[in-house]
Amino acid sequence: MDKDLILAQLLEFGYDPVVAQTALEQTNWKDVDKAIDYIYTHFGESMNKATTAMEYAPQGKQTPTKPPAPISRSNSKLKTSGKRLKGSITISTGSEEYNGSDDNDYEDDEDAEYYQDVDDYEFDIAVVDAFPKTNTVIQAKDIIKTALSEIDKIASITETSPSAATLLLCHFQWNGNKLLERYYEDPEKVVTQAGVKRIDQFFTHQNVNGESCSICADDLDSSNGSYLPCKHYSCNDCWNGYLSLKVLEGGATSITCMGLRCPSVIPDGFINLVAPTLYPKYLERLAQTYVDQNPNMRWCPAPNCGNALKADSQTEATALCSCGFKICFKCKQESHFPADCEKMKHWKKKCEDDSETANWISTNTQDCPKCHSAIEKNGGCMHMTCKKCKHEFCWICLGNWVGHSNCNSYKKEENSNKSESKKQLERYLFYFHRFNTHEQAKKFETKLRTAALETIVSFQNKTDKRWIDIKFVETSTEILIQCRRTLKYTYVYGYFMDDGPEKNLFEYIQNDLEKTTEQLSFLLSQAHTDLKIFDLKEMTNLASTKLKHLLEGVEDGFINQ
Amino acid sequence: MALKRINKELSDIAKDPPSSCSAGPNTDDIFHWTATIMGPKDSPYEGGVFFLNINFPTDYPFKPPKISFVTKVYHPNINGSGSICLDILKEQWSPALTIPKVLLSISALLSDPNPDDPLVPDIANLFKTDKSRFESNAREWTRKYAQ
Repeated sequence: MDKDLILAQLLEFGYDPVVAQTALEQTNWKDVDKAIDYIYTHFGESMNKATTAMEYAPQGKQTPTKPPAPISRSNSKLKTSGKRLKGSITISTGSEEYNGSDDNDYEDDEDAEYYQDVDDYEFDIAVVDAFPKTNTVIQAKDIIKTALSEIDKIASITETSPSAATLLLCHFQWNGNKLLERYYEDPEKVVTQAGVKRIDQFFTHQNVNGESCSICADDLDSSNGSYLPCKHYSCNDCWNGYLSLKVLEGGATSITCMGLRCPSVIPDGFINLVAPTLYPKYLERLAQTYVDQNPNMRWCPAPNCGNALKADSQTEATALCSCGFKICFKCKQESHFPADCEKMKHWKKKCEDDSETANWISTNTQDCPKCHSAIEKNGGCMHMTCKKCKHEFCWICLGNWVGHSNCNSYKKEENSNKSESKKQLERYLFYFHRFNTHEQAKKFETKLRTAALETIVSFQNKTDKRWIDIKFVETSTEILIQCRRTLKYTYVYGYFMDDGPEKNLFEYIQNDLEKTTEQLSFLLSQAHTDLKIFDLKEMTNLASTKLKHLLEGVEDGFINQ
Repeated sequence: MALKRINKELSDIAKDPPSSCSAGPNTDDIFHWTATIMGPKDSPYEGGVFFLNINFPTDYPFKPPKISFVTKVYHPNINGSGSICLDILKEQWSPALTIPKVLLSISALLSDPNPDDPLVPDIANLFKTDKSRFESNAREWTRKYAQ
């Protein structure tokens, strides 16, 4: 690597030029990592305090595009040891390092207070707080209960029976506020429109002498006749057959009488008495419409989940399910921030158009760059070691892991004679490949969660670790999954980004997050044998902060921050 | 349930045959019937005999029977493959309906086409703009295919 480039990198990280120069000379200008190691061993904490990226800016030598270590509340609460994290390009930052920065002064007192009664539990919250939950998760088993309580609420306000309230709610598509508004304007009209008029009158298990079932023509004189006020007599068996079909078809809100063009709506009490075995299924369908028709609610699309997510307002962009799945409220797919719904639509279309080529490129195996054995990646981080030749390489760029730094920005080939379309395709494949790699890695998330649980269980009886520490593995796993999901969609975002300083900065931060994510992934994959709780906490907090920065950057623009 | 009900309808038809139409199984398979409708009086279909296929679903009468024309008909609500656009055969089906009632409804549809909800837009358009040409076309088809 070019000497100037290495030096520039070190300066960018906020090292003193003299220190950087010495370190590089001592490490034979080999690479940045070695130099940073040297600085840590020989200069230690004192160096950290002497310089910051902030102090460097005015000298004009190097304009840091962004301080490499994020300044944020959650990070400043991190207890730092000054110990460098393996392979990281970022210096761990304690709050005292930022005393020179104006906008951080106000935090000093709080921090001082914080350090007096530092408690790991608070530390845990600091990490999780970066991703506040603004939505309510209704567990699958509670949806019916929630829907029924909504019905009871309306019934008590309108002073009607639960059956009538159900019909009213269904008529207004579960919009309780609108219902009450209209109801108070003109209760008669609303009641007629919703077909609630004589809802509570029905007759089941009657002897109807002289009448026969209008469907199967059986006589109705042995207490098997049931009917609504419209007097379309039928036997319970026929009602049962009719109702099961209607409920199976998904109807719950407006099942009408069997009579030809008869508008009488069948009340839930009637269903309960005539077809008691069907009633639970009916309630299930009713609850389904409760979620389907409510604009503030969404089903969790994760397989076998079945929970419903309720946002506090319609403006909410994403919702997090207790199963860990995060959805985009608008398009009901997996949350794809920083790419927006429009970009995702383009991206999906693009993926479909180029699917043949994409399939070819994105098959599950890659060849080892050294011995060319086919390798399938089934978990863990991007740091791969070939089982055959022990070659260590990066799964994303297939470059040598030693000295591996940037692999997230697409480098344009200059002076190439390739046709424009070929170049376009290559550019697309570059982004698609990375998108897909993170997608693949994310697929192991259930595996990750199980592994985290196993780790927790295996450590819980050992006395040398605190329970709160062991539980932290769970938090780390969630953060890792969030990082992977975001990274996946940053490639969609990046693909549609115009070239320029904004994009360069975006890629820099993306790369930074990618590296931290890999390290976190590595630590977690080691956790079951070697739980380095301090490293894990540090790395988790770092990843969470970097993720937050990336997201903030996308929202507010990177340059203007 | 379905079998019992179909048998009952069959015996009802035998006891009290509906006017201007007939229906019954043409093989041993009781779930598959053939029906005929006489072209209604004072309509361009007068004098024609129209054959229909009836297939009963296993959950009959809770699901509607599948009915289609075998004979070609020139009509805004009946297409080239014999499918019929009639609400009581779809979303307005009621288990209280029986085959004679349905056949009567189809017969009524022949007398009274519904061009505002067409299955064949060209015919519906002609029906609305040039009724006499529509009628002569329908008569022509009846003579050609239904006599």
